[in-house]
Amino acid sequence: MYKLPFYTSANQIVKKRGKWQRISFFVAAILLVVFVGSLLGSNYFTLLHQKKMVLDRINTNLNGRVEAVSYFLDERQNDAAKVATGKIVGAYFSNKALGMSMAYGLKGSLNNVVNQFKHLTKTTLLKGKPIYKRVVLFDIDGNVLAETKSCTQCQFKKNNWKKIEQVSHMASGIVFDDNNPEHIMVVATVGKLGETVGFVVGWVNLNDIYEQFLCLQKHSSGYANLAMNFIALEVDEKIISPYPDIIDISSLHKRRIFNGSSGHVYRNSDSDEFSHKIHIPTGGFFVFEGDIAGKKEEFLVLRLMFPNRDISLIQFVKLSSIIDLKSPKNLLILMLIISFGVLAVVYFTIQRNIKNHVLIARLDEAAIKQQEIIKANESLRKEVEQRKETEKTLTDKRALLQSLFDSIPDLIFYKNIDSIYLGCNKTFEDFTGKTEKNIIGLSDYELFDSETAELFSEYGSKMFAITCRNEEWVVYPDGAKVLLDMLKTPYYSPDGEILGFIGIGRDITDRKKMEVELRNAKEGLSISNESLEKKVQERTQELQEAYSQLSMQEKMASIGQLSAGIAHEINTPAQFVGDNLRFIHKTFADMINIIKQVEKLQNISSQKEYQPIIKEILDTLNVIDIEYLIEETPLATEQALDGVKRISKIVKAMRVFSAGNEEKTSLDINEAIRSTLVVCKNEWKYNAKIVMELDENLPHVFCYSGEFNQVILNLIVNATYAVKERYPSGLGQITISTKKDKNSAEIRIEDNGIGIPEKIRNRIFDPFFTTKKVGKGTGQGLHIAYSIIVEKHNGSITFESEEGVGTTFIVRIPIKDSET
Amino acid sequence: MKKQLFFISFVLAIFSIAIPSAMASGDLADIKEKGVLRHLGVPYANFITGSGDGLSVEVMQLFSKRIGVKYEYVKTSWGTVINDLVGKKIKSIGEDVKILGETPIRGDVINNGLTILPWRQKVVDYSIPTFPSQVWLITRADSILKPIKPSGDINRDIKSVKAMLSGKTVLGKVGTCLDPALYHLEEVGAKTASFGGNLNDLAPAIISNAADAAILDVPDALVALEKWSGQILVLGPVSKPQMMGVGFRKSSPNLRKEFNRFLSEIWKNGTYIKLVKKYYPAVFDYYPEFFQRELN
Repeated sequence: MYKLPFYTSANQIVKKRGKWQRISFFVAAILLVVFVGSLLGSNYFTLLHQKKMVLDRINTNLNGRVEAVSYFLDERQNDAAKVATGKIVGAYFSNKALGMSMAYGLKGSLNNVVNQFKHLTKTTLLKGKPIYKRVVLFDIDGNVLAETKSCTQCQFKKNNWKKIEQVSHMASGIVFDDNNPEHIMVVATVGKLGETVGFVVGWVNLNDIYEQFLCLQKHSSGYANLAMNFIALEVDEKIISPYPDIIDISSLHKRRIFNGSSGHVYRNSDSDEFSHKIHIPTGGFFVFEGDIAGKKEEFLVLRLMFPNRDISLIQFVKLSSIIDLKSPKNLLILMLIISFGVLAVVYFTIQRNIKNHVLIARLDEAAIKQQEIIKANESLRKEVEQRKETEKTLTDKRALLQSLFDSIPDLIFYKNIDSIYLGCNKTFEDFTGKTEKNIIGLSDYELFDSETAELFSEYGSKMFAITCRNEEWVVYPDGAKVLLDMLKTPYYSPDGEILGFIGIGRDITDRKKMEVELRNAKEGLSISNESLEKKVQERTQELQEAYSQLSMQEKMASIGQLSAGIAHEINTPAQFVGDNLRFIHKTFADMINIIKQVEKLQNISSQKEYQPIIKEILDTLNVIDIEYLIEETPLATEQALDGVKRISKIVKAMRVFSAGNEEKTSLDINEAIRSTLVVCKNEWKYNAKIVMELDENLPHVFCYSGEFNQVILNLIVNATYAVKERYPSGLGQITISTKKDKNSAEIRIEDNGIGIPEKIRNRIFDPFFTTKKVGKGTGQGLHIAYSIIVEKHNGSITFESEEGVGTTFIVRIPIKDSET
Repeated sequence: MKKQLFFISFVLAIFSIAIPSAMASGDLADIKEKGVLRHLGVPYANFITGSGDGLSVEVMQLFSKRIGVKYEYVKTSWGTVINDLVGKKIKSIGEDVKILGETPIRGDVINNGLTILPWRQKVVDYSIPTFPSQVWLITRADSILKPIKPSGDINRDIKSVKAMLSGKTVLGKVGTCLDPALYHLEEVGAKTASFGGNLNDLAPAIISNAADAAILDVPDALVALEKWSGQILVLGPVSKPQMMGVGFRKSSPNLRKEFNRFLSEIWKNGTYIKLVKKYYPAVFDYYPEFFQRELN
């Protein structure tokens, strides 16, 4: 049988342990004895102190209750005395003494007494309940004079009258009624002239005193806490037990003076005599034995007297309920015996069982070790299985990795840190013309020619710290030269150490060629784009100009249409205003003749009856100042007619100016100039004087009349502006002349304005070019004029200018072409 | 002749009261229409304490509630309480009355311990008697006058009391039930005087030696015995037992009838006795029969 080697060592350990256990036990036993001894000592003194405190507490408690009940009884005696000596009770006896009869008034006095008793009962309360159960006024013979009738139990028997009479020698007192043990009577004497004439008696229920001052709550089974302690009142040397059915106090008999280990006896007064009847001395603790509920019990008894009264209060405490009062010395001895007994039992038990413990310990140790071996075997088996699984996984992964390498068309190889090949893929084999087995272990110099090897070696040494990417030209064994995109990156051990590097090379020869071609194509495309953009800009500018022209033409056409409409509307009323003025002018001349004839009539009329009428007419003529009217009215009508003519002229000019259309028409250029001057008179009349030098023999020309008028208008406006700039507060001069020049009609518009600066003369026909302030000119006027004359009429527009002298614009329109 | 003249004046007086009163009406229907019952009262004993309560005040408040109108207390005085009810200035001459003139009517009913007297019955209608009374002679405790010993015969007791009054000053109050003339005290040689103050102040006046004696009705004497206990003495009666009642105008028969019905009810259900016990607990000792009787 296989024997575990550790069994021998376990035996030795147990033996050693047994020895140490014995030593430890003895030390522990000594410590335990010391500890128990200190505990018992401490407990002994604590018990002594507690005993003293318990007795103090009982004494203090009873003293407090004696004081409370005594004060309560004093107050009740005061109540009764106050009523007995009061005005109302006194009034009755006075009125009676004076002879007042019951029939006439004395009943009223007694009624007042009853009311006072009721008031006393109602206002003297204990815990919300009336203290007095009944109050009676007796006369000296014991007859009831007045009373409250709230208590049926508070009846008074004549055999106690002597007790009440005993109070007559003092103002008030407490009387115990043998026939009514539940009540005490508070008696006060009513005196008159030094003689007792009656008594005021109030009944107070003892239960109220018990409950309020002695903390006893009456239940169906008696008073609570009776099992522990109780209190009795002693009056007239008789104990009044609130629980006579439960304990016969008179059966108690004294056992001993309760004398504690300290020998202290509590005394409350100087007297320690025994009561004659109940044999309970006052002022100390005594142990009495008696029956309670049929069972013998020992009671600790304390009796304290009320000050100035033959009443005492007795406290009974069941001795068994006060554990603290048991003898501490006995308890100490008992505890020591128990302690040593326990120690001895423990020692022998340990001695007896120690061998068993050794054996059990060995078995337990063997079992534990066996369990550990089983666990170690199991762990080893799992480790082997896990390793096999790992190896298989690694093999599979390696095969997968090799397949992956081989399936990639790029060159893949990897080297160690000394640049010795450790592996490669199929493509690399093809590249080198050797198998992987033959490649592994070779360096670049052994694998390639020296030039390629240096290249590979150089890149290899550069990339150890970082990943690098290069393009390399290499030559295959078959002589093909290719450009490789080489990516070389280090690989690391799990602890971060560089083990070598991996190289991946991709053939990018075709891609490089395509990139070059693409770059060339992009450059060509860029040139085309620039040309195209330039053309687009030119077209855009042309379009803007055309749009601008069109816009201006539409605007002018609109103005023309508007002017034609206005001219038509003004022309009609102007015609009839002119007709009427001419009519008035002519008629007024006739009227003047009539008036002159009336004046003559005054001189020639001899008939007196017409004289007043004639005089009245002449007076009226004088009033309206007919002489002045005859002189001024024809002038006024002539001026009005002149105005109408001017209106007609303007209207006509507007109609001529706006009479443009989409087709060429025969145009009197002179007339067109005149009309344009009229239309734009407001532009020039405050700045320039117009001088007309028109060739009246100038033939009509075929042209777009509206557009021609616009050219003239633009030139006159420009000339006005130039003149105004030179003569801001005066008048300049604009000279307009026409003549036939060979086959053209020539129109010259000359001003003596500021002239055109040399530097801008080549730009004045450009669209949107203007020298006017912002908002004053559009820069379109001369451009449009040029367009109309040159492009639409095959004419020319030129200018001659000198700064500070003036400018002359010369417009030529072919007559022949126009006519055709 | 003198008697004939007096009869004529009496008849005229009654007519002069009855006719304007009838015109004034103020009966139950009018009071209900107005919605208020005006209670004429004089603070007196515990009938009207002057503090807003009293036996009469509580009874009239209950009555107002019963007829569904608002209660209003109108304070008056013993000298004008009848005038304020009937609207005439009345002067009592013994058991007769004389009309002196007109005065405004201020109330609908008098209830403040109004003793039923013959002269008052000539101008006022009374309800069923509400309270017993009697007039006693009182003096202070140290007076030389001593109480009589009851003989059991009221007439003899009255005679005994009056016998001790010769040459003594006696205080009363004219125009009330304590008018000395009503009890013929001067006829026995007493020097009577009318007290100028309130009836409630008669007892203190005697204590302060204002006169040798005074007459007080029983309710007031009971209050005085309680209030001035040991300082006043009751010597004996000067009148036979009297009754007090609530006074109505003669033109208010329906109001009076309704009050009598109301009084019977609260008498039967104990409300009235309870109120009397509250204000006059001692009165039951003196007049137990009065409160034990049944009202129909």
